[in-house]
Amino acid sequence: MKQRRHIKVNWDLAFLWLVCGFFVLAALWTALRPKASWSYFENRALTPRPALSREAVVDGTYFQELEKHLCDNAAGRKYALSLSTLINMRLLRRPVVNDVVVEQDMLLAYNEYEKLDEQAMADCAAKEAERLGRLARLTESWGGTFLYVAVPSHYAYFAQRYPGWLNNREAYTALSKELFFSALDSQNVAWLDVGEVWSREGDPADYMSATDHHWTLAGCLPAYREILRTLESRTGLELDVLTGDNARLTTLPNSFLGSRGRKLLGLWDTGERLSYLEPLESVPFTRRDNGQEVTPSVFSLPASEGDTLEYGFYMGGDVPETVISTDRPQLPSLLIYGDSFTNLLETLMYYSFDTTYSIDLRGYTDMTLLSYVEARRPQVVVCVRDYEQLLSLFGNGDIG
Amino acid sequence: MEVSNFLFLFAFLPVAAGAYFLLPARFRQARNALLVALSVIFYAAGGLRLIPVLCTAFLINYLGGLAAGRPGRGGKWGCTAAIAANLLLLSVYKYAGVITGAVHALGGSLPVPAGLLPAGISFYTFQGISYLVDIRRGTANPQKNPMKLALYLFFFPHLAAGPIIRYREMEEEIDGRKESVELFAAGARRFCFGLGKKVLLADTFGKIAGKAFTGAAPLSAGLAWVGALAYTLEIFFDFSGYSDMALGLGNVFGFHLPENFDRPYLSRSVKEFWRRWHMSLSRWFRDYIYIPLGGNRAGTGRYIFSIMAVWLLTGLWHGARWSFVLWGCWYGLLLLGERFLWGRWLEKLPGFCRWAVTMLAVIVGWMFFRAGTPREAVSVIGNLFGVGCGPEDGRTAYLLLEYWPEWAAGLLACVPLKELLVRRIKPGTRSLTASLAALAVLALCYMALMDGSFDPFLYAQF
Repeated sequence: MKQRRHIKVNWDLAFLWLVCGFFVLAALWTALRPKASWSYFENRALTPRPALSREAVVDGTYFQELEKHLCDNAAGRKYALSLSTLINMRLLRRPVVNDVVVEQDMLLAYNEYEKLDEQAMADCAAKEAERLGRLARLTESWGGTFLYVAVPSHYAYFAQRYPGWLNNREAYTALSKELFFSALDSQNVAWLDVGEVWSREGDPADYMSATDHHWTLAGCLPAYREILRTLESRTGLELDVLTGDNARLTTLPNSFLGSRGRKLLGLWDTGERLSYLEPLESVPFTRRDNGQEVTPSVFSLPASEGDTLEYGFYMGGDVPETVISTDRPQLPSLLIYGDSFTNLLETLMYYSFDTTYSIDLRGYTDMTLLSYVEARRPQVVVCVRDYEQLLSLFGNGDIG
Repeated sequence: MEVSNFLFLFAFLPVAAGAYFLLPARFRQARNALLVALSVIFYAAGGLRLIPVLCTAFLINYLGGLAAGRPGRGGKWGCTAAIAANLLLLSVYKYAGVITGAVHALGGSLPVPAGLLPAGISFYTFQGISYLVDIRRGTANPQKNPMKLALYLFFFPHLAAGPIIRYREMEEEIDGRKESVELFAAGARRFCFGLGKKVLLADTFGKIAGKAFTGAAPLSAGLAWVGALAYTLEIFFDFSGYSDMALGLGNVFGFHLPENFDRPYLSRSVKEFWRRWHMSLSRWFRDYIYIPLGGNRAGTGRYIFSIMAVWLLTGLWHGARWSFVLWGCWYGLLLLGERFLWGRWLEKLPGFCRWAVTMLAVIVGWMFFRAGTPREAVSVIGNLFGVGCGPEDGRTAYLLLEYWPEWAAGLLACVPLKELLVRRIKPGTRSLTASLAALAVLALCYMALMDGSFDPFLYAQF
């Protein structure tokens, strides 16, 4: 009996040393380690250390913020998050990890379940179409043309890949397209549904990224050609098109960390690689981002094969304003605006135009889009948005 | 501050335990003073504005206790006044919003009180009342040392969500407790398991219930059941997890706080359920309301009145909402039904059927408890039985498949699995096994805390 008690006390002591050591080490490591301000994999700013003020201590917000700050900067946080993600993916095999639906060869978006409000959707469609109608009429007032390009969202393109018990937003997509396109028709706004272009080609799986929520070069190319065909037929212009004959396709060996792969902390590799197309005979150009001259390139080429790439490879990511001038005044000018789907398209489109203006209204605040268009008077204005954003009145839906 | 948040675990707790054990055990009063100071800091972390409330509660009970200890009418009036002051304090912070709202609705005018509900006010108010009544009854002596009374009332492990301790349960240990390695280790293990219940299970079941009852789409019967079960498990693991942490921390500092849960979801009657669920609150209502009202020895009419009064007050204790009142009435009626209507019939059923009927009553009860309004409660309860349901949309399957580890762990944790396992482990290695399990749970909790998500304890709202 005495022996048993002795053993128990020893185990207890060992346990206490371990527990106390864990708490003290975690506390000290957290307190002493340099604090980060940004979490790359989560794509968010980390909570800064709160300012100590009398009001914050009295109302309790100081310690609430300090708690968030400590959690965000806790010792070993990155490793703990990685381990947690790995356990959820590999061991527990949860169908949704970090808001990503993990399929064998593909990472899909997790969509919350939703109740459709048809009236609200119809109101948004009418309002957005009315705005676009104004933009189209403004562009036409100097002989220009406007084209709205709708690209399938990732979840819409791969709707059939979702398990039956997850929301693939099929009903939302169908209703929003129906409402929006008919509203555009009523405003006489020209539109192009890339989904239909892809359908004609049999909806190949590689048109959309497996690890990112954007399209791939393979998917962008038929859309690009259809856009130029549509613009030619509407304006009578003859636009140069990049094809297999006058352009070179390059696939980079670097691993590609798409937005979904990033949410999974880079722990899921689908083997996807990025490709880009560039003219065999290069077109010299200058590039200005937000008014500042920058390196004249439409790709952010990696320094080495070991670098991981993201969709921001195209055009360097989302820039509020980019102006590409090729100094070919005989060609028309283009203004392209929209969400990040435009980035890949822009790496192809600038080839056919003298000056290409690219605007992302999520970041551009100098003036409204209508004012910008009025000031630049481009011959062609193209809006590119994915199905999810068709009814959005904000960001690139708010043209002024 | 919550006992499951990072600041508490990795700043407050190491400093508190370190400082406490650096003081030699013979300086008992210094250790007590340190615990009081730590408790005040713990409370003040929720906002310094809460400290006057704590001071007021302390003064009411300290002076009230001294007055209640006096013989004769003076003592009686002193006790009554202090109880009234306790209730007034509780009313001002907990019910003033509803009272002023009602006055405004009737066309009257009252200033609307500002500020939030101080955490744990219902718990320390009830402790104060039990202290005063026990003095008056002669089962406790008034504490003249303010430090010792403050330690009883505000000892930080049980400050926010109980258990509700009677003074005499703690009195002896305030001076005479003996900290030991064994007790510290047992407390630390229990704390780790309690933390696991809260962080790994309760918070996840909270997410499931939130997703089920989000209102983004109509409920189906399947989804209503998933949501109801998730909430049933959430509230158990949240509250019993907190209690485990409180009891574990009590052990760390040498105290033996009373148990608050005894596997309530194994109960085979509603009466049994309330003997196993939030035992310290049930005991409080039994000793200070039910028995003084006559209990079950003063005739049927008096018994019915006592039961309904107790359960109405139990509902109101949880908050000033009609759904809490309905929840209390639901249990009052169930207990009366068991006593006078279906109790004997129920006893003849097989154990599993009695358990199923009891759990059905408990789950329906939680739907009253969770709902913001009686209408919402009735709607969800209707959904459980297929009334007014929307079409099934896959959410049920998703919530079951996505969270299968938590469902499995949660259901297993409701049964006496631990006892079964303990019996199979050799006595000499039980401590080792439990310690390893506690460390594993602690590591998993650390991973879960890294998400930075924060879910306050449900019972800290009361």
